[in-house]
Amino acid sequence: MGGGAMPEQLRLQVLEHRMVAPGHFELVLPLERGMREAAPGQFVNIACRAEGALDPLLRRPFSVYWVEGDAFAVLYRVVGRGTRLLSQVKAGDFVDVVGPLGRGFDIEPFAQASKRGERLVLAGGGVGVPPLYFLSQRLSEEGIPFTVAVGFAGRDQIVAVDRWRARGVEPAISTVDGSAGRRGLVTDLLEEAFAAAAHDGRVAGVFACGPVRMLAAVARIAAERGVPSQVAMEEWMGCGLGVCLSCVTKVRGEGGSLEWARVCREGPVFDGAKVVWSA
Amino acid sequence: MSDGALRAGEGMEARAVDLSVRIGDVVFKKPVMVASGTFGYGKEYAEFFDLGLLGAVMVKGVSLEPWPGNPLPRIVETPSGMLNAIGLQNPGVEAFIRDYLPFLREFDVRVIVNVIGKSVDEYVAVVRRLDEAGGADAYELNISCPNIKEGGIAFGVDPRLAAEVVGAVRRATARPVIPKLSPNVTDIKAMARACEDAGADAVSAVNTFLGMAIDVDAEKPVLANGVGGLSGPAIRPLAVRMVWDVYEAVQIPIIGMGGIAGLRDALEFVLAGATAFAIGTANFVAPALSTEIARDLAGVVQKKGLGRFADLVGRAHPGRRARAEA
Repeated sequence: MGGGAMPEQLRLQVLEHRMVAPGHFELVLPLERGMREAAPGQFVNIACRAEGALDPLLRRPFSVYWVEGDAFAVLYRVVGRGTRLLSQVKAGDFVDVVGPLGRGFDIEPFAQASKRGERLVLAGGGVGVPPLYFLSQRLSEEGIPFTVAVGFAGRDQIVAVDRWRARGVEPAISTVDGSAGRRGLVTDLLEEAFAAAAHDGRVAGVFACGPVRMLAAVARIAAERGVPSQVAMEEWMGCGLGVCLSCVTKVRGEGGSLEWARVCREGPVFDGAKVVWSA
Repeated sequence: MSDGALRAGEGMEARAVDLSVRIGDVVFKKPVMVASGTFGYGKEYAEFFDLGLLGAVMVKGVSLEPWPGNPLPRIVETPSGMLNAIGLQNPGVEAFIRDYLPFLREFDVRVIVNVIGKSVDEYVAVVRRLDEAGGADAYELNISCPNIKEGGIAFGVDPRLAAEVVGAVRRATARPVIPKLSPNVTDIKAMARACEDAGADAVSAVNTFLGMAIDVDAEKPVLANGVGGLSGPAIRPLAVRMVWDVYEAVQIPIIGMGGIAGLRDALEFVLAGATAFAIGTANFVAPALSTEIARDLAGVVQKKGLGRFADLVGRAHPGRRARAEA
């Protein structure tokens, strides 16, 4: 499964920090220690307060957006006090980061996809898109074919697409308000991706990250076609380490029994068929 | 200790400081502990440091049967703190003995098992099972959960019920029994005395403060459970005051806790009367903080010209200080 490095608390000097869309920021940090082994879908837990300050107390989790050379990035939207404070950090400042954390996407079962004429579909919604970009970097390195389908609220919320295009990947795009790409939801694009199997290659798996209702729909669509899905979930976290048990989600365990799994530890990436969707 | 020991950077002084403390018959090599519910069963933190750097691990509450915990949301951040209503989710004593205790025993650290129950009988049954299995050094009794047999009255807010559970566990085990006091009482001294009289070897002070946060947009409580326990630096002055009061009320040792986020915070508890202290919510934020405090503690004792950490305990109390210097 994705990610074997031991997590560490790191003090990292910000390399770059820029607004990439209204309210959306890309934070670039040096790639040090265990972060070099970070897997797509894993996350870092960042202290969103001044050094020595105790408020806001809890760290905020951010999945890795990309890894290139000696740097990695996270991409986030300002939604509350923590992310607003983080957005004020400047290049040269230090941030307190714990990572890499959690279990990422597992691409091993798809290593032979190319030989078999198969591909993966990466389906992302909103600020759930960034970890899929990192996943696509790794898939390219491994020679595993993929197509990308991403949905946003509107044109000015679009992120990560430029990076894909720079690498010659043209994502299918949907927006809720129709201001860019196709009007509708990313799940519409996913249905189309399955329909295009004749010329784009059979879909061997779906990898998704986004709002929980989107993930539930993605898992259902994949299951209906007998295709495995891996979904990166989000939940309020206390520690991000697996001890506080705040971020649990119901999954089907061995023999079908229902049990709690920790989003920060057994996740954030789960087998879509095992998650008990309440949404 | 000679004046020479006060000078910094001479290399060998750290050895001259005795950090050990005693609770009942059990000696802890250092007074630095990690609080129950903030450290799991140690596995996750062992990825960050050697658990043997600590004096004790107070494990997450263990009940007779598995408990499922509460619905979500279970947590909400508050100013310099957080509210939680996890609901004591745990796999039960058998799974703890089988899956977690052997791992903890690989480290040179005392293991204090936090015990939870819905009746006196359940507390006793968990302790008996742990005694039988071996491997626990002491028992911390979480007496802040509702007593179903007593019709919803909490063990932790009624001195008579607290004495009942402490006494029953006392009779069941020879290992140290450490009730964890709830701060949600009018008179914490009365609670501490009741525990001491019932045979407790020490008390932990304090558990979380009952609190609440309301979602103003949704016009309902944020936590699915409605109320939750407040922890973090926000509660430290409240907790220090309670340790101060408990120190004046009982002779048994106190394990102080509540919002410790650094060495100086821990020293407040010690000077207020805590023989040992536990880092809690700060473990979530700074995973290795407890080891940093453990590392720096000897230096502080030394700077104060003391040879033993135990000499610091309660020194902020005017009476205690006079006694110590007499």
